[in-house]
Amino acid sequence: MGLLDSFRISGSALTAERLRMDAIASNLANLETTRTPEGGPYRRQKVIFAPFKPPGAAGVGVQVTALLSEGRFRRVYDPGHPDADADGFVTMPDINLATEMTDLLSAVRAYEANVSALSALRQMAQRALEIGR
Amino acid sequence: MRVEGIDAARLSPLTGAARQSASDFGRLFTDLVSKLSALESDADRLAQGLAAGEPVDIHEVMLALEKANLGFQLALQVRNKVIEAYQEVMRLQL
Repeated sequence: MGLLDSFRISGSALTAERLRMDAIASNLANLETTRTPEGGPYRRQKVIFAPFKPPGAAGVGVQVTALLSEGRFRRVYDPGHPDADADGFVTMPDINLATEMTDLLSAVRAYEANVSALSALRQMAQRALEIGR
Repeated sequence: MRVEGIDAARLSPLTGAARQSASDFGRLFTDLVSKLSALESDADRLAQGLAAGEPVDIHEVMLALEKANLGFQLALQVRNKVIEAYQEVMRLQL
């Protein structure tokens, strides 16, 4: 069933975008997290996409191959903070709110686009079933 | 004129080819139905997983449901065509 396998192309993209959304949500939640169980401030999460070939489908889907933790930090002067160093600077994760919001919108739109592709595929299948009716 | 009773021995039995094609179609339809039931059980399992709070993506459930729906409609169309052909044959004037 070729058509049903083609569902998996867009389906894999939906899964990938959802994982990307998870990473963005974590970044937004930990905008100012200064301590983690691993030690040091929170590290910004970033997903890396790679092509993925679903069995039976002609096209190529996508999958998340890696979840990177970036090691960039910014230093904020806040002597009253418990995690401040001797000079009064606190190391915070280098997360830009505007960048995260842009990524978020982009993830939502990409998700929508893939849902549209799925609907189109479904409509094609339905039309095919109307042959000879 | 002598009317003879029907002699079972003189009726030609269903030949190999006819029997073969009947079982072929039967196999096709059985395959289709078993594939359909696999699709539906997939959808069922995912939907139950989602309801039970397991880590199942909503779109996975929707995709499985849609696949089951399309598969069912395909099987329904096949069945309609077969019934149509059967009725066409039954309407033949002998």
